[in-house]
Amino acid sequence: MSAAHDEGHGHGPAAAELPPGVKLAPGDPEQTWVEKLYLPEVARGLNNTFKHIFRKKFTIDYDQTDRDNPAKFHRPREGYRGEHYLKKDEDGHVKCVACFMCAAACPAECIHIEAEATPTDWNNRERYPRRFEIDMLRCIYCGMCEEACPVDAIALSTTYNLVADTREAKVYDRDKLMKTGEDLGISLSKHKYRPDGVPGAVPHKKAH
Amino acid sequence: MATTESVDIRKVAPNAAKAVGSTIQMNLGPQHPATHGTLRFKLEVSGETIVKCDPEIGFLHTGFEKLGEYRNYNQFVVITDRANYLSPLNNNIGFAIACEDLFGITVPPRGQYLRVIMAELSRLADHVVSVGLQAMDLGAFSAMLWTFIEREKLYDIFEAVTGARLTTSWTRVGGIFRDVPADFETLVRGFLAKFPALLDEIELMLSRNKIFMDRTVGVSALTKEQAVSYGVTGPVLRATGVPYDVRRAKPYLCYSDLKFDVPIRNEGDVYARYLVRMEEMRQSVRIVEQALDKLPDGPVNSVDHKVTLPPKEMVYWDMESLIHHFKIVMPGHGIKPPQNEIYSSTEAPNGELGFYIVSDGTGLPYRIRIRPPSFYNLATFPLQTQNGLLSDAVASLSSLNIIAGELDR
Repeated sequence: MSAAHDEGHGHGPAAAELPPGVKLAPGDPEQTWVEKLYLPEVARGLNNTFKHIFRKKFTIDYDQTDRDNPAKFHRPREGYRGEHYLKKDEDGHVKCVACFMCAAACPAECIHIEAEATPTDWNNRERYPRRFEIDMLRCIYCGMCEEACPVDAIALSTTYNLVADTREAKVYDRDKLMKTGEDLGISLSKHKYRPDGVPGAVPHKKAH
Repeated sequence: MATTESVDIRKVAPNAAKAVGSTIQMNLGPQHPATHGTLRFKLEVSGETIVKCDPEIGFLHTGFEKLGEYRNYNQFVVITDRANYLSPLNNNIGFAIACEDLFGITVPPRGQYLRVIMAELSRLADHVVSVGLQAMDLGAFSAMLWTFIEREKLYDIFEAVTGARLTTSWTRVGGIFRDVPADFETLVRGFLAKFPALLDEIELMLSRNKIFMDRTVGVSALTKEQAVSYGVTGPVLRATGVPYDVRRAKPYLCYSDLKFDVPIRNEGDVYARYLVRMEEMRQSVRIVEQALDKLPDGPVNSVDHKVTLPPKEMVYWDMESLIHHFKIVMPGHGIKPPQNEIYSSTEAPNGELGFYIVSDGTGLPYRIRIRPPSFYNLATFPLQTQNGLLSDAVASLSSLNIIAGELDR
């Protein structure tokens, strides 16, 4: 900066009077006679402003029809907390066991579940959600449901452009949530249930 | 238009004639662009001079403190995001520290360093926008646009780390909800390399600008005694010459291991607050660089799984971890602090952000009281604007960086 900028140390208490770790912020409230003329400072400022014309544009032309083009559509990286989806087990059934832990963890109270005993041909668990609804308009996208899920059944995708015509369309039911995962190609859970179908955990192999 | 030699104002404008010599009531806000949120000032003006100013808050009342009584300690983090929406990470971290004081647990070194880095980046985002808006309120529009570009770059980092740009909800009691991505250091260092150039540019545009200086130097000055007696903290206090910074006065996290200066000015006016904020940003860059150099490896969360969730991989396969997981999440079980009450404060960008938590030993807090810095800073606003010009009130308000969200709670 200019010489006037550095003169700021001359005002107020000298650096020696200040306790250690405390610093006088540089700056000088007095204007020099050149600065009082105003025009040289205007020229200096405008000179800098005009340089910005030739810089790369920071904003992007948002176009959600062209989602693969980073110049048109911002795609968040993995780990972004966007729209939810429900995962599936290997048989293609919903992975959820209707334990209600996501509903309990939700600070916005937007998850509604009704549990039911599984059909007889599902042999890997006892319960599944007959109804699983997330009110996307109440949801605050904090990710606590994903954090609370003990079976890796619910997760948040990176979809963030959440638009609908009606309020009802933003209450996602079980099938809609499963379809979201299918459309994104990430719906199969990586974690399997215990192979013998008994609820609970298998003995852990890792020593810890 | 031709002017006559003498105009009888009683004939030309009978209503205006009544106002001569008396004051008129005027509203600034609640929807004035310079009020930074919905905030109303009842002004009594005589001509352009403010005779009396009466701030009225409550237009953005959201009941955060009452909501705190119905959310458990982990769930309340999402509410702290929304209290100060200009620096949500500082609020997250401040609340997490208060909870950890209550529970009597410590966070491992890596978790502490990460919190310091994110808190300082959030301080940069807050100060840079605050300075930009201060310039915008005084008519300098370009500087505001450039500062918003820097904030977007910071939000890109927050998005990569926390999964959200604004409503970060990053901390949990005893740590953070996930470790940072592998390229975290590259992201932050890439940002830090270019950021000081913006500060130089803002200084070039504003620091010696005659219009900016005429509008700020000597405007709305507070004395040291006034600031201290009103409980003012943060850059507004430091601009009056009191070197009080919670990071220095009562070090939390790993601030005692890091070298930084507390910038002060002695004038106490709007220009001094601007200078203090600019220097604080340079100090924050220094802190983040040191913290990145020293960033240790290891766990980010407390290993006490009575309070923090066990790793997800363990929950899927290990019965004991699943039990811990269940006990923490489900209401009625939950994490239970001892019956106690604590006050804990951290240095948020606007000043001392305090949380006073009363616990009755159940999973839900009995009472969470937030001490927002904006509330105490705004209390001095009538004092600052008394007998000043109306246009100076706008300059003064933007230099206080009032956030209506935390003001009303």
